[in-house]
Amino acid sequence: MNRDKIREIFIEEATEIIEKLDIDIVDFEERPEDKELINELFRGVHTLKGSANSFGFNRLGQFVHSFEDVLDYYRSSEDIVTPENIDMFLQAVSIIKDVLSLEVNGEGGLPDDFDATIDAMKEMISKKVQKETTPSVSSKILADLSSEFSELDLPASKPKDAFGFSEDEIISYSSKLEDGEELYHISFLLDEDIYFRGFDHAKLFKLLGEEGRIVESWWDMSNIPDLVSFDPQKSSIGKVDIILASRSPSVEILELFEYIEEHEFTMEYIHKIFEQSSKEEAQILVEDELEKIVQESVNKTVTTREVRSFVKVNTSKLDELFASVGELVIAQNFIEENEDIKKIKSERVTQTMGLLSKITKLIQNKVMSLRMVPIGDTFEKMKLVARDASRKINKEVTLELNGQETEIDKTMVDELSNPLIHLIRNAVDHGLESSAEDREKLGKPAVGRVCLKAYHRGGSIAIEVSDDGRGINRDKVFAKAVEKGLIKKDDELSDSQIYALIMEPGFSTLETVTDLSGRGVGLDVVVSSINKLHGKVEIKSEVGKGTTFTIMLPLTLAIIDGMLVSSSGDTFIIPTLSVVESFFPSKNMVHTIKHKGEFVDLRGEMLPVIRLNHTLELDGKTPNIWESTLICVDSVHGKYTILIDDLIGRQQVVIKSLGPILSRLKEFSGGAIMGSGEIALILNVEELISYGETR
Amino acid sequence: MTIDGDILEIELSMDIKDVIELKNFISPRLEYIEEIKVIKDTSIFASSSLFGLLHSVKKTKPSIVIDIIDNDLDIDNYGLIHWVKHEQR
Repeated sequence: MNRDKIREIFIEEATEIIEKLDIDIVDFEERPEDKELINELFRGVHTLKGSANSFGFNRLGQFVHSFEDVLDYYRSSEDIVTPENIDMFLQAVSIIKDVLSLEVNGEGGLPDDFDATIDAMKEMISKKVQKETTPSVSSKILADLSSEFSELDLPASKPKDAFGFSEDEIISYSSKLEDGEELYHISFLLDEDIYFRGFDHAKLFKLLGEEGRIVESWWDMSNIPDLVSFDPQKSSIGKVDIILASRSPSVEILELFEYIEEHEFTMEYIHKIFEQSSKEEAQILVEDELEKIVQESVNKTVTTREVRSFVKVNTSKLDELFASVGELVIAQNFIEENEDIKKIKSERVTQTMGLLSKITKLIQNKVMSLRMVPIGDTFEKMKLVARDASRKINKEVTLELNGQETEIDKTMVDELSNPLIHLIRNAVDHGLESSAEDREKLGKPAVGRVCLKAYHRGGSIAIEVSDDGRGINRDKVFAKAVEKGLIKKDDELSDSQIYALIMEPGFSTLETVTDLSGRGVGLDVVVSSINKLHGKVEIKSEVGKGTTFTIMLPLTLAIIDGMLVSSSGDTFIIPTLSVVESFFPSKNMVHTIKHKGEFVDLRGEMLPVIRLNHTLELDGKTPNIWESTLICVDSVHGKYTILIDDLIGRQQVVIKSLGPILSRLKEFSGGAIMGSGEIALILNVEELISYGETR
Repeated sequence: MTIDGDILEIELSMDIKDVIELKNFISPRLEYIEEIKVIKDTSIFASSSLFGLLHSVKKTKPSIVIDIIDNDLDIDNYGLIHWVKHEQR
């Protein structure tokens, strides 16, 4: 594995750790007495420090070291973290993100507040330590260390490390180290063809000798055969264990093993131990054990000892696999639809076809499941968003999470963050009452409640962002929309159509622009982001009780369940997620309103009729509505009906991108290849009808 | 590589080709060789195959004296080498 690859893995892991720090800190605010949580935080920061230093990211290492001291204080004392401390922790994580970015991009300088935050952390620790009486702290630390020993299941003294070196041996090696040297344990178990491959233990020793000092080595010669069987060109040497003292970063040492197989070597860092007084010794042993735990996680990518239950796969490879499975589904549809094959009257062929179909479906489901991840991590990140929003506008808010285990396509998870951030901020800023007093006057708890919930609904995934705030004022939204020219004063709109107006670009009823929202941008971004995911947004609200935004998403981005329809001889697909029903209207249901177009009265609801052949300019035929088929669809602008020639059926289709030119056509969200080989376009029901046409 | 009576003198700088030759040389003469001694530069070794061969020789004729494998080997540049013959660690 080369240095770049290892660096890439480090950056990925560091980013994961940092993201988790944010979440843990916000959780810690809720449960400041939870020692396990602060231990978790400490371990994350400790890992980050170790990795940063081994990659020469010294600025990151320096900062993280100070942060680690603060966390170490809180994990070893009974002091409870205050909201001010939490602010400082979050500030520290923000700086860690900035420093990592500078380090990764190879840029110089330091982020703002780098030094000031380090000073603040040091000052805080210094004040805390002064306050404590020395004997009680010492006894506490020792008690904690003792408890940690018991947790770590270590013998009281002279523990052996993971690879068989006793503490005395490590002390002995450590005492012989020169300035800046670190200890490594390297093992080789080279395959017998190593000499044929142009390599040799001797070459590896030579290379290691250039990177450091080989202190000692143990060569397992117990399986060397007698002279008759001995072949000088085949290695029968067993494991070779080496103690190396080196000033080089571990990644540079690892580069030496580039030309041998991954299973032929392991390398582990040995934490130095020096002779100490009993208390210090106890501390170092605990640190040593922690370091080992940390190092195990760092080494997991470079050591071959571990049994690997998980494999990290680049999502682009999953995309390729997914695309290939899509092609497989199409090919299988071709076979099923092939007229020549259909003519074959053979039970065996029919059985084989059935088996092929089953296997294809099985592969499709398995591959789809590879991309599915729980939405929980994204939800957890929203805690920080809610906290920030709450602080900025001084409203107390609790964020409740439900259904974190709901699985969703990885690509959708990535794309969901921004819409959710907008909706959470909107709920805190607009949804909730202005103050705790206002809420109490209405008989509500002083602290506002925002709830984030995910669940399966039919063949889709629903994500709800709800608040228990004031609800949407229907009349106010209507008046504002008239004022902005979005609708006419005499327009008759349903509640959902009126609520949908708040998602229009530039729409805002808030008179004061706040830090968070009120600029008329945000909610329209939510709609456009969700549209890209082939999903839709529904709004329900009740004045005085609250508002719920529901994002409906398909299970996956690559395959959708579609309703196949025909118009003017062409086949189109309407995502079934948007289809409410299909029906043949009777003549008395159909109405034409001057300057407004054609409508159909569906159980008392007047729904606009869109003639698909006219909208898509396929032809100019105008059949009677009562002699045609109508599909009722639900869009963010409300329900409407699409007039088609015929309803072909329902089918799962693999979505194909339309390419840069055709993707400008907003009426379509993609294309699909049918079993017959015909190409069908997928209708975008949100854009098929412009807002003004719905009334 | 030289043979002086019943003592075979070799060098640590022998590469794999030399080790093949050495094996071919030793095999028919093992009965007469009483000791294998390393001479000249001991700061580096050129192939681990040599160590394999010497251990194989020792296994075949345990009475032979081979100082560099009978004891730990201290190579200037590579520290102390311990030979594990029977799961010592």
